[in-house]
Amino acid sequence: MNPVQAGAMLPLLIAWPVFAALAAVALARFGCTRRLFDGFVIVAAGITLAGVALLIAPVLTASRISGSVPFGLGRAEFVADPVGLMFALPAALVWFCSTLYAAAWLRDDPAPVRYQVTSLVLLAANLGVVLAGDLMTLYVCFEVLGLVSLLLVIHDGSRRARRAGVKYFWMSLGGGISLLAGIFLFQALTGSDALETLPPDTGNSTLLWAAFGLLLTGFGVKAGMVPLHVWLPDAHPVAPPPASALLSGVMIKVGAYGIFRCLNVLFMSESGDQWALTAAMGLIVLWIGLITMLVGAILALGQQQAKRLLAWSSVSQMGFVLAGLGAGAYLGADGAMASAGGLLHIVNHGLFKGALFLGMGAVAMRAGTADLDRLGGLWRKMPVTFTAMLVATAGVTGVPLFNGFASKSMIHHGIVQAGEQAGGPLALAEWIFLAASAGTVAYFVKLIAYVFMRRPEHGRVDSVREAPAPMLAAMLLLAVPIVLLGWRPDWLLQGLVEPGLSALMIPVEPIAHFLSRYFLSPGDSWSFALTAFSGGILAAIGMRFGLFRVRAPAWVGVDYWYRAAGLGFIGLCRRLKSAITAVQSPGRVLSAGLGRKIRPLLADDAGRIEHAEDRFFRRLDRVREDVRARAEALALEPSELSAGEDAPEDDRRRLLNAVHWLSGLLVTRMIEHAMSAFAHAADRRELEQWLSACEERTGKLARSSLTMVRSCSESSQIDAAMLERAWRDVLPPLPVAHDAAQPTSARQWADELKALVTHPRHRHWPVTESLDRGRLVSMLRWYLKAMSRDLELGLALVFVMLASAMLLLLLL
Amino acid sequence: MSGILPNWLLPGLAVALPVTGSLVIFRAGHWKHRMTGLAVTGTVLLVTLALTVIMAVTVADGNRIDLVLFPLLPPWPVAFRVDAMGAVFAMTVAGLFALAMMHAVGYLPDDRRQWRFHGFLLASLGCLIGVALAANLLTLLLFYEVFSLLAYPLIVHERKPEAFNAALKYLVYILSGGALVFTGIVLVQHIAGSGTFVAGGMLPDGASDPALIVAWAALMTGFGVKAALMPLHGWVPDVHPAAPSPFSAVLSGVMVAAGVFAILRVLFEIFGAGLLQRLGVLPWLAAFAGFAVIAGAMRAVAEDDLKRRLAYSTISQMAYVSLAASLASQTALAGALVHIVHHAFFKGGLFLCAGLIIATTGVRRISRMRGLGRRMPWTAGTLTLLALAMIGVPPLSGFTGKWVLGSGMAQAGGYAHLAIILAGSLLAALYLWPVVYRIWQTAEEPGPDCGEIPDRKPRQDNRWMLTAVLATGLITILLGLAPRLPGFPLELAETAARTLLGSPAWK
Repeated sequence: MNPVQAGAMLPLLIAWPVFAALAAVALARFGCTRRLFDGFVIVAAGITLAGVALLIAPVLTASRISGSVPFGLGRAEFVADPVGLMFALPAALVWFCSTLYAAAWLRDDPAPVRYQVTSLVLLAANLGVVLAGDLMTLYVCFEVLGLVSLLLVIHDGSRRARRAGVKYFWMSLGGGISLLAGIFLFQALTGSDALETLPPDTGNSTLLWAAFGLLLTGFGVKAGMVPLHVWLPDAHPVAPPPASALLSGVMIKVGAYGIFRCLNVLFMSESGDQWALTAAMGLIVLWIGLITMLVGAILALGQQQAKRLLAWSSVSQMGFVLAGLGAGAYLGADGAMASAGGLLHIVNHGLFKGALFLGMGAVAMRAGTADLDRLGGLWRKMPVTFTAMLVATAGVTGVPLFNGFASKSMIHHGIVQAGEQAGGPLALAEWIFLAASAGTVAYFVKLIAYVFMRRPEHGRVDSVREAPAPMLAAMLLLAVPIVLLGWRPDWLLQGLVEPGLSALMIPVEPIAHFLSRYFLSPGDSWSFALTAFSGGILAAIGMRFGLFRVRAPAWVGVDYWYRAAGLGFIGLCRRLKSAITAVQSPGRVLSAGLGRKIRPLLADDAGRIEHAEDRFFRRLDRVREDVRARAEALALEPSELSAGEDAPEDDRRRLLNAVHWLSGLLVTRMIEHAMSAFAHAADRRELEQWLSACEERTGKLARSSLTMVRSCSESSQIDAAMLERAWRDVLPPLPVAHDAAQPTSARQWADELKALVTHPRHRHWPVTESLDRGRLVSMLRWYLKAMSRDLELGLALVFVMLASAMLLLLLL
Repeated sequence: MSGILPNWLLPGLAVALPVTGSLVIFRAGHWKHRMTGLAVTGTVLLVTLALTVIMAVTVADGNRIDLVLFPLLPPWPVAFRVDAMGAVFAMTVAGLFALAMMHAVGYLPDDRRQWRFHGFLLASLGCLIGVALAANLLTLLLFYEVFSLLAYPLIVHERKPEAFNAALKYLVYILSGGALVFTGIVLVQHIAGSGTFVAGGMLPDGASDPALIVAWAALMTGFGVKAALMPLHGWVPDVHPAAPSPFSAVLSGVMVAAGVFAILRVLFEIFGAGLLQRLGVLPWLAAFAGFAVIAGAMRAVAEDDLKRRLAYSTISQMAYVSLAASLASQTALAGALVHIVHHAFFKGGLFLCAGLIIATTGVRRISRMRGLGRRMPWTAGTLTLLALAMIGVPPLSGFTGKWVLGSGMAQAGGYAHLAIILAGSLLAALYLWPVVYRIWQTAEEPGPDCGEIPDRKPRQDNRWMLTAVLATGLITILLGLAPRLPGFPLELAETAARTLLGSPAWK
């Protein structure tokens, strides 16, 4: 494939998973077998992997291939360069393994189709971000990736998952908006939305720093950068294990990718002021990375849930990546080693964290729990899983000849070099790095020890078996490159990283220097031995004395404050509303003296401004609705529907009709009495109390109307007195004795009701309800009165305004 | 449009056809079959929509169609002029009315009163198209006022007491606004001797500043009432929930937008960007609009009634447009116009969803919407989609508007404006996400559940409403994925923005 053809294929490659997802939906709709569906999805992911792999040759010959399709506001531009491929390749590989694994994991899942389709769409979005050629395409793919992956987080639908999902949604939405703002500002600086370096004359301005800060925040949320990491340790563990592998192994890398692009493309410059600017930005990222790695490691040590531990470990490892990228940008022309270390660590982390999450998923599936306190001794039961996880652990802790070793020592050298160059507090950087590395060793010793090694509680893990074959295959497929890259990191370093960095005008000699001088050198191996030793001791002490179970109070975490701020803002909005509706509006305050007439016009909420009579009626009306709804609900209860009748549906409908009518009838009677009592009442407070009692006893009223319906259908006898009794028995006596019963009309209603209950033809509620009509007429009378009064006022206002217009005209 | 119809006839027909149709429809209650009446209404709507589309295609490259009817007051004829901005708005109006009418067929009970609703709806469609195509201030006001009066019977159609209350408040607000606009017109007449819209402004530069400022303030306040700019918004949150849902969709989607549209006309075709900058009034508009974006959204957050929440959201979203207008930058203005169109469909769609939910279950309060997702999956899905569009998630239509608007603002140097619209979209998430969360919530968590309330309407009635709802969802996706298709709002909006800022394309 020549570069031009490859460029034309690029958009197709990215769109392919989406088409495959649509096809998968269609397959599932038309009821294909489970096996065929799984096979299709796996093949689709495999084709994507093959497609990305095929890009390597043309990208290396042309160093940059591009293609575009019309989409959205213009064209979606895609560019593949070696750095982009560094991200795309492991993404496609982990995705393929995860899909394979998921096919087995989702055996008993209620929604396998949703999971797999979501996963394919996310694959497309993920490739789209790392292969995007302009900022708009990048943003669109980034947002789709961020928000669609919410479906994976909440996949199991548990309460915990939904809570994590809420947090995830807010963080990624906020990150997305910050990113968008950054992009807008960057556009304002450059005048285009190409993914290119700033023009050299932009100088050092607030605008530029604002753009950088916003972009860093946007990508940082995704990357799990402290203090924006709060969603990660909640969201990653609650997702199904294959999804955790994707979220933790691949998707957070998109954030690192963005930060790399910011530092090495968008805000990079070779000379003058601007170099100092890039260096300052690199220093910020380096510090954030150092803090992130330390915080992540400390909190990972404290976890007793295996998946949470792995999630915190992801935070910490992203700290390593950011430190490498930051040091690389800080060192500028000498920074190739640190940047390459960061990039390599991204690939490595994808592989080992993917394998670890898949392995823990297999353990959790077979042992039924991922709680470290309840596991143990599994290495005999699950030897293959154990091997895969051991290899991944060796990778993550940086054992020589496993993949983490090369990337960590490159980052280490980069940090040392940056520390030497900057001096000051950055001299601490190396110690922070070593502490975080020791912490990494400690929490993985803890993990392996608790899950696989220590003596299990009696009987708990006896029945555990090895995981099914596809899951094992997926884990091993990730474990193999961990060993290969540990042995020959130069394949990746010289194959992709060097051409990638030299395309970005970064001198790449330090990489060759590293490979020849430092790789597997005694010095680096010693520093690993040191961290491993101290990490082992830390783990031993911590586990022995229970240090890992110490918990800080909630307010120490930023999480607490975000939540407090969010809820506080909602509280503020609520308070604003109640303040405004209490005062109605500033205009209302001013007009308070103008009397009652003008108030409704300026009131903020017309529904609230009404006369005492209306208000009283409104409350009674709500009681009516409530009683009716409750009575209907009661009638629908299974015990109420007599079993064994010949036509239960008919019966149910008739009962419902009758209840609907009778409860309305009953309460309307009550309302009539209450309203007339209100009209004659001397003291309305008593009536209000009576009404409150009414509101509390709607359930009883509903029940009594149901009782009446039953007695009616049995004896066919109902009269006004019964109706009266029904509500008077339940409620306290009306404060004003006002006896205006209307037996004739009540009789009429009762007849209608009887017809309704006994006559099978009345299946539906009639169009007009005589009871409601009476209510409607009286209500309309009140409102017409109110309206005529206020309409006149409105018209008067209009005339006043017209007159003032004329006056104004005369004055001018 | 060559051949069948002469161009000048198009605007006249687009206004007259729905008005005439409404007169026929008022009689439809006496016809034998419901379908006859519906077919007539549907035909009128579709033909009107087709006419507006034809007009839009005709003026897309900067042409103009003029039609002067008859003098109303001596120097002021009733006159129509189709330009890109008017055409794109007319098209939106006709499209949204068609969806609302389809929804109304299912929403309203099948009785004689439904024809009243359809009749008034058609008549008000004609008037709103008249607003979109008006060639001078007086014609615009005339059609706007008639529309506002025709809205009264539509708002109180269900004869609920709160609807009467709210409609009364609405009348007073709108008529006072109209009176202020009239004052403004008189002043404009006094200053310039005419009120015909001219791209780039028509007021003479030499006029006295105080007179200009008073005229500006009168017109802005008057149209601000209709556009629901924050201190003048009082009628919106009461009328929207009280009106029948199909009409709430129209009110929110195009009635408020028509106010904003009129503001744009006044700003750029009466005053002109240069004069406004000299007068220094634009920062005032920006301040009010910015306040409306934030405060409207904050009020929306606190509301529990879905329709009330959406009403406040309209206040917030429509203020985006005024905010963009206050920058007088071409890209931002194009973004604002696109936002008007896209907002009409997603907000209209949200109101239609709310209407379908209310008609089926009677649930209006968000806190009681748990379990809707399982009971009405298509409606809930569309509601989610439209909510995401309003938040501005790509690749849905809200994102298109937000992108053009935002990048225009950043390029024009309006960083505070940019911050406000981004905050507005974060707040949009804050008031819409709880709705989405609630409807998809399952029964495990404690709280009221709507799943057990029996259906109020038989299922087949919902088909009309469901189709309308799904159509808004599809439009939202289409406008997001391919806004650059020829004849789509974006192209027209860009032409319009170019024209408005004084480089008329037809010269």
